[in-house]
Amino acid sequence: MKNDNLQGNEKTVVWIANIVNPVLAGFLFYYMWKKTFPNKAKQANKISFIVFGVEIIGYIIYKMATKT
Amino acid sequence: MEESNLDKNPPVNNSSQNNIPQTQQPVEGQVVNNASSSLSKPIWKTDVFIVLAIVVFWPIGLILMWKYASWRKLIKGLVSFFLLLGIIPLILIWGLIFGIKGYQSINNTLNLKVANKSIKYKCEPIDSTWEKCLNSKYKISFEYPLSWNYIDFNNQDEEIGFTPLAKDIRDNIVIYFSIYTIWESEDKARQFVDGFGIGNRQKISISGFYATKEELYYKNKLGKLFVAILDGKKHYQFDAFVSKLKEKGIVMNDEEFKLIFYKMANSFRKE
Repeated sequence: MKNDNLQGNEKTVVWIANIVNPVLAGFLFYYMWKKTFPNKAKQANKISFIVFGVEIIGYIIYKMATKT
Repeated sequence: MEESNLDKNPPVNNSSQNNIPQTQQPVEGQVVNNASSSLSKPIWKTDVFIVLAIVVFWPIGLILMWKYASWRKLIKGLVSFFLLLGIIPLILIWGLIFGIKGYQSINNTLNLKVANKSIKYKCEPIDSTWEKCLNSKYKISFEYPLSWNYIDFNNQDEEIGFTPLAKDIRDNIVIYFSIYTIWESEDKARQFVDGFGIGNRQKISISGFYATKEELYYKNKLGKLFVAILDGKKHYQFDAFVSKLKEKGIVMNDEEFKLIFYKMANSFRKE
């Protein structure tokens, strides 16, 4: 049976790669899996958007907090 | 094809990428990029790891990608191109940093911009805490704290900089003195030093010369001080960068620094 879901170590690696660089990792994972594992591609894409959003919000909060 | 491969050789553990079942062989030409078939190869050959390597440390990632990834050449080429494109600004920045430093060291050698040695100013102690610098071209002098260090920039503005630090003097200048300019007329000179009516310039007198001073604040913190002194059309200026004190790790409060700066400015004399 085709395993079309992120799980276990693979999921962890996808999260780590996206935390380091969500744009590049998201792009690579999505286009790598788009045709053969569309669900995985979507999940990886979702993770990259979540991480990107969190990092942007975190940066805004940090800038507001350190503003003197 | 992938499904049939997976049916023939069901994986022991779908989520593990480290186990290599003996019976499972990837089919030639097959895009091997699923979790279960990745069990058949070492972790560094899996697409997920290659992506991780590209993201974390791209030189290794690029090598692994070209060696083990079964992606289209166009994709590999595009990824390589964009990653290598990123090197260009790094090389430029590196060259700029080391280039500038290299240029400065050559410049120092050629122009004698050595700490506490000046071509244009003769500096001698007047007491235990202050030293007097005399500029022979314009016949003016002023004093600075003896414990501080200076660099004569040896430029046409007779610029000289002072710092309380003993190391990397050129990079840690906090007070500058220079012949700011020689104006076309005294009126224009006065208009300029008055700030054209803008700002909080205070009119003062230094050794009988018309002068103005101003304290500039940035985000409610004292950032810069300056004193402009007019001798006819000649405009001399003392500038102090208070914001640099913290930046350069100089332990001195604003009031102490202001005292030193204003004492330097007020010591200006025509010889």
